[in-house]
Amino acid sequence: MSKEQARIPYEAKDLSVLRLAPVAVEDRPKAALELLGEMLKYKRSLRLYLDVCTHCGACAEQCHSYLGTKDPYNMPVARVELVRRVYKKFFAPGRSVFRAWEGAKDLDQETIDQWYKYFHQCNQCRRCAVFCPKGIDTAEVTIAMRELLAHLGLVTKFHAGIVKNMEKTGNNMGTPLPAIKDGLEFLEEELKEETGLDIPIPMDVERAEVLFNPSSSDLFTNTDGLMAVAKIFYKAGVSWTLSSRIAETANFGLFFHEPTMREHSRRLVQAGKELGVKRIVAGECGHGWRTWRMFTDTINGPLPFPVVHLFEEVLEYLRTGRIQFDKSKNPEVVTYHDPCNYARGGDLIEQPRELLRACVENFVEMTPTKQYSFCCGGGSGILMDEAMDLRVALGQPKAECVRATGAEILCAPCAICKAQLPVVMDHHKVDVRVKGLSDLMGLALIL
Amino acid sequence: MSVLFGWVLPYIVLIVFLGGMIHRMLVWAHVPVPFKLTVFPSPDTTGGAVLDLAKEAVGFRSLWRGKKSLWFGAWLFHIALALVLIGHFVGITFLGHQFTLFGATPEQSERLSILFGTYAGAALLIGLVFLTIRRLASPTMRFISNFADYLVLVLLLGIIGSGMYMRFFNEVPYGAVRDYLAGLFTFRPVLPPDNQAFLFHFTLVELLLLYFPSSKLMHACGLFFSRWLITRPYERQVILK
Amino acid sequence: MADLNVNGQVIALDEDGFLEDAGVWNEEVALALAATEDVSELTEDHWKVINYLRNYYEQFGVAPMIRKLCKETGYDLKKIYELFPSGPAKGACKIAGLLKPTGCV
Repeated sequence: MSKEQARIPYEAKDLSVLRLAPVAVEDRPKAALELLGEMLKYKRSLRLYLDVCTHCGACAEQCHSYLGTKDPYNMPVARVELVRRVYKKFFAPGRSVFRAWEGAKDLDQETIDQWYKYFHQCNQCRRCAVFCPKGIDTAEVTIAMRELLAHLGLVTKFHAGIVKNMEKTGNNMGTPLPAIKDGLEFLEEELKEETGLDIPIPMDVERAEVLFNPSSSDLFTNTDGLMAVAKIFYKAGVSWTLSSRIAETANFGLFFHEPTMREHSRRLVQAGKELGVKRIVAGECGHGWRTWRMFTDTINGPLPFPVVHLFEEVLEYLRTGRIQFDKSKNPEVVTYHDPCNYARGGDLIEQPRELLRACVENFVEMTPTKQYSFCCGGGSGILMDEAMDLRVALGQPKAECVRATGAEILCAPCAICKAQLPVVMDHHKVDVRVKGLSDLMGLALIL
Repeated sequence: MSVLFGWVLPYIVLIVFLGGMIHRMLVWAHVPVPFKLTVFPSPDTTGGAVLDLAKEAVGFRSLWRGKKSLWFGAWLFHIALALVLIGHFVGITFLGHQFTLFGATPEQSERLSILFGTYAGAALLIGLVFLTIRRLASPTMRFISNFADYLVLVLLLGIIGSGMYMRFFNEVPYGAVRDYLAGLFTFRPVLPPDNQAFLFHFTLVELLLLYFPSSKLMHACGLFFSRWLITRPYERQVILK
Repeated sequence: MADLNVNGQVIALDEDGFLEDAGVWNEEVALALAATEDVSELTEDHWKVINYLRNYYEQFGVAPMIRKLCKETGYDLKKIYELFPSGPAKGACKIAGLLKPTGCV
């Protein structure tokens, strides 16, 4: 392995798990053109976005990536322009002189380097789409371009490693089943110790009502969240189960490789069908939720059961009186971070707020909030250690929003946000603890 | 020369303009949309989505959410443009007598026509100058601008400037203009009015229309396609609001 | 990341400074890895964590839940961060010769 790495994030050396034939470096520009041409034939979003931008610049000041890094190529308009100039040269309609006026440029090695760099500085947060008068969603372009780069053999080491783990073990962390079972037993003991009750965390229970699909980080770092979920299902009297086939709601394929995204989705749907559950409940994970909510039915539909979010499920228990919360258990000032793929991407805006108001005493809104909320800076899987300088820069606008609330607890119900925000808050010296919404519900639940 | 310029060229321009525009919309319409890309919160029904689209197209709500100054410049320019275009069709067709339909005398109608036209033209010019200065003054705007962005501004400044010049200093007889345009539309061409300001104005419009389908001006149509992707409703599998 | 030199033997590290081959780990390698993590000496407390991680890793092929690590060693998370400033998933796992935990962590 080469010890000198030019690219941040590091690029993967082994792409066998993605079943992609690597392209020789000198052949990449030519291959990239062919791939772009193909994509333009099946992605209307990509073609439209390359056609209708007027360079008005309304997006620039709305992009946390540009605000945090001050790199002009991180303005959404400039980021997409890296592709648009190639599109203008080779694919756009009209006479070549017209296209030259619009900045048409050849596709060379340097362009590919810029693509790799700048399409890994976009968090696919979709905030630009809210402020763009044409509704240009740069995340769509970033997803397409990362896919194109993957076909050229350019995938980050971090993402490739996760896909490999997922394929091998059914979770992104690569935790083998015996270790998961050991961990769950341990958590059951912890629950017994905490509550004195026998609260199960069941696995592979056929014909359970609910198949709960957590993020695998709930089995490693965010265990409070999983224990809270177990308590809530116990109290509500709902039969539920985990699956040994898949314990991962975070679908990294969405970020850069559609076949991987489809396979992940298929795996969960199959697990649900085999267990014969009534519905699948997705745990705290932003983009995973967007995939289940928006794409799964398209890919694997029609589904024999709905895929709902944990918050919708719990909210129903709360509204029907099957569970109750004691707010006084959470007396701290709590603010809520809208994960991009909940608010803009997945229609979860009011549900978590209703739950929060029910289980904490002091809830304060952040500014901007809801669909206008800034990304944590870790979105689209920018969680690599080697990209730490970038990550804290991307998170800077969010850090200032959180600081302004004066909150003691930052509720961030998404596994990526939970991994990213503590690092960002620490770096920018914002004194706040990051928790999932499940954690807070678990504390307030009256058993 | 005047046959080519006054009679043939306008038809070529119209064919290129309409044909090019339709062609590009057909291309967009034929590319599939594999996934639902709705950005939330979004309307639940198709009617709601159409209403959303209309509000956006008329009120520029996305820009309003961001910097108000850009919203002001862009909105003023586009609304004034719409008014001026309507004014051209109506004013030239009725020779300024359109308001007699609402009970005004011909003299009153002409005065109203001139008044509205002047205000709308001034608003259009103010909007355009604002957008031009905005693009030129900021280094970040210059970074994202290319030749075509400036070219469109120059063409528009020429068109609107010459229009206002005719309004204030060199009034072109409506009658001659109407006869010329009516001749073109009925395929019985007459000579264009022999007025340099008018010919300058008319030629720049032709150049702009020729360039339109190949340029970013296609956002006028593309807007509805691209916004539909993120606005279209997507019913929930389980409703729990 | 430069390779590690332990008593004249070259040990390959990956870009994150973790062992390429977990099998080459021994106590001297641990000391050399600790130096890359700004851990100047390995005390009894350090070894308790390292040994627990290694035992778990040998049994399950993966790092244990952080909560379990704390419970079984009797150290709270704060103490673990004192021992291993870059945390249980990075510093402690690196010195114990485990593979780098990945995913949303």
